[in-house]
Amino acid sequence: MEGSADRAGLYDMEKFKEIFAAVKKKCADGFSKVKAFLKKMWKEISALFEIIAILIKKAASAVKKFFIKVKKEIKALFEIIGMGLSFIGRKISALCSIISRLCKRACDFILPLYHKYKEYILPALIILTGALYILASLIIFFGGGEKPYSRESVGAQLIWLSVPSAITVIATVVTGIKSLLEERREAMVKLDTTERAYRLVKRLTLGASFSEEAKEKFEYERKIRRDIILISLGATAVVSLISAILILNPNKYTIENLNGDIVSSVFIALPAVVVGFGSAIFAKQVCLASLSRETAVIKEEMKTMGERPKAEPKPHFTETAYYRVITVAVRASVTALALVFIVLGIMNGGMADVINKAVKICTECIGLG
Amino acid sequence: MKNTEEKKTSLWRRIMPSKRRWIQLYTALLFNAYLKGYITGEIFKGVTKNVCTPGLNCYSCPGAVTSCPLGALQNAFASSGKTTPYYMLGIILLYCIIFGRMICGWVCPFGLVQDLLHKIKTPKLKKGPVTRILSYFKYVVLVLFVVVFPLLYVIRDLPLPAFCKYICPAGTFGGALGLLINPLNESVFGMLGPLFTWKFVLMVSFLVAAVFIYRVFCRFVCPLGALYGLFNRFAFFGIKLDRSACTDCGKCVSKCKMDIREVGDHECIQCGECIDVCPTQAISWRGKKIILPDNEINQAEGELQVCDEGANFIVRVDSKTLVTKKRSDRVKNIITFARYAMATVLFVALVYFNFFHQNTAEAALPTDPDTEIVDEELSKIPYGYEVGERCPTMSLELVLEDGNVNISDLRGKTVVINFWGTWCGPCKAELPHFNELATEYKDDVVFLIVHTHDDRETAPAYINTNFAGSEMVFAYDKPLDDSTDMYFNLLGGTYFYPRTLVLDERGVITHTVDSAISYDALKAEIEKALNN
Repeated sequence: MEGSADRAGLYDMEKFKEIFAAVKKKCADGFSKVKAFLKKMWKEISALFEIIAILIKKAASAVKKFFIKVKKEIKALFEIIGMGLSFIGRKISALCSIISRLCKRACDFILPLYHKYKEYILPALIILTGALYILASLIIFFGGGEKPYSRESVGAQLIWLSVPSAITVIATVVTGIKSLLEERREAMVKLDTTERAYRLVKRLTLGASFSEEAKEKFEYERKIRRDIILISLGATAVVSLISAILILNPNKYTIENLNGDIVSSVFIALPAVVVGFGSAIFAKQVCLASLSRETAVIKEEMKTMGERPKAEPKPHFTETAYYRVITVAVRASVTALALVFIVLGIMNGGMADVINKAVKICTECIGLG
Repeated sequence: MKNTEEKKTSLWRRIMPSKRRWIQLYTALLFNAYLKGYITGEIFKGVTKNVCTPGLNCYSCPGAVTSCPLGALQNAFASSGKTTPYYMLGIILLYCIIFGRMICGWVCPFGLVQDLLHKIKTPKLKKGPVTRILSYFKYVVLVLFVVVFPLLYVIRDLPLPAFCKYICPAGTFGGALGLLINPLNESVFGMLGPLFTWKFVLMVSFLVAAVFIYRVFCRFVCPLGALYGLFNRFAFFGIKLDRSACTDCGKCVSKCKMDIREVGDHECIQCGECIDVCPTQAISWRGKKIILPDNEINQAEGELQVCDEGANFIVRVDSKTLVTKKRSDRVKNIITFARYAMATVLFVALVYFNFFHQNTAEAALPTDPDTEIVDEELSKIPYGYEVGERCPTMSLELVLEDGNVNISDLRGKTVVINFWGTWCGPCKAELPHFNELATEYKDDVVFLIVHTHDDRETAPAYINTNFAGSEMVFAYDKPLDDSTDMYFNLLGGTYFYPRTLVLDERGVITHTVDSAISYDALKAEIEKALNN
């Protein structure tokens, strides 16, 4: 029955439309309710956000007020600190100006002294350092420390010398560099004209042309010089002879007191040395004074020398043939003697002795004792 | 008339060493070419130590490869009782007549040290009549310390190089300090005493004085310079003065810092600094023609003779014609060759001495092992030469009798071993103390006195004369090589004499010393060993 099927289908469609309309109406109702709910929620949320915004605004205002207050407080604090520092700064500045004035006064005092004596600073340092080394060695020896010495014990007692040594070395290097960089003008030593003039005159043998009065004066001065030299030699000879007799006594020297015997011999020789050199220095001074007087006479004589005849100059002894012969003879004989001695020395074992003493060292012989 | 001259000196000229300075530096390095010695702390023992340097260079300096003439001369005088000192007298005479005091100015290392110290910018003490007179003091030093004292002690049969022992600052500076600064030479500190203190004070005084006084040691003290100076006028090389050209202006004497009265006298060190100063060129080098030929231009009176490749041209010119002196090519070649030769010699010396030379052979332990080990504890102690180690044993030839003495046979008693030589003064000086103690401790202690292999022929006579009937046992050491003794080397000896070791009854070393030991100190060590 096809018609019933069509009427069944149509009936279903209208049913469906009714149902659909009902559902649509219900959905619309539901949607409108939801929409109303959402609107209401939105209003609530908006109100909440407004409240939050107001709160934030109030909080920001409060924080701003707080920071302004803190800023004021800090500013006040810094102002106080600044005042304090300013006060301290003024005081320090005053102190610095006092120190600066003192330094200036010290420099005004020291610098002239430095410029006046600066060339003596390095010598003083060198002498002082040398004296300190000597003092240190004497302290180590006489200090009664542990013996025998060790590297550690000696090093510990010498460590304090490193500072003055370093200062002296630095000062020496600086002075050396400074002098190298400075443009220097060499000045020669002033010549001593007295003896030179005398020898020149003597060499030119102008003596024959001198006046009789001058010759008498020369003779007198020569006598003085001869006598003083003889006295000096005589005194030296006498004292030396006595010392030599005392020193050259073999029985005086023992093995047990070797150093003591040598020291006593040196003290015995000391008077001869003192008398000898002292008298020689004294005689030299007398001779120089005599030469000065003689040279003055020569200079006066030489003013009128042109009017008188001159003697023939004599050649110096070293320019004579006799001297040349002596020189050749001495050279030849000494050379021959030396070569003969060397050969004899090699033959009698003297050469081997040299190396033996050089490789087997007796410690005291090199000062280790 | 002005007596001063001024001239500017350039920076380069101030810095650059002069020819003389270069030669001084060269010789200082050549004579001390054993640079390895400064590192190892030992002295050179090679055959070149038969040769004496012309200048003052102590043979105990770690770098020295030659001997000092003054030390060798004094030792030769000290040994003149048995050997006439021909060799050293011949060497000294040869140096004197060939070079004179030119050695002081050009070669001596200690002279170089003083020159360098004098360059320090300080006020200087000027020379004068007084310093001239004081310069003769070195002849007093020469007579007393180099000749008289060593010869006087020959009568006592005691070698005494008095100048080296009591005065020489070069020995302290180069030798003693050179050894002390090396950390390996710890034992050297134990040798220091009053003598070293005196010499150290003297050395410092000389070095400080050298800053202010030019060559203070050379001028007033050095006996070697005194000897050389006597031959200055006759030496083949040196300075000479042409008196026909000399005007006695005195500039040479003023320029010279030594106490000369005229150029070339006994105080002149032939440095040549006066040559440039002489306005008439009256000063020149003597002996130049021996090494360098003429410039082949000879000027006679009014005549100029020019030689050119074998053809002689005689050209007569006016005597007032100026002649420009130029070095010929032959002269230049000779100088160049000499420079290269010197450089080669130095290079070969440095290389050979430091890299190829074996200084000391090492002695091996004896082949006969010690089988008399008493206990296990003793066997754990190693052989050696330090305190606490077991002393190696050896069989040594007796001096006064036939036969040998074996160290191992001496076990059970305390033993004192002493190494000595008749050439060594301190060794002889301490033997009487050993003899006294040997008599005092004859039941408990054996004194074994070992003489060096060298000079062994002198030992019997000395012992018979001085220690006849002594309780001490005298023996000879054996040679290890030409310069070292075997047992001495085995027991830690290097080159210092005397050396003494004390062993206890087990043969363990309780004390060692590398110098003379006093009676009280040795007695204390013996007591310690007996109680050990």
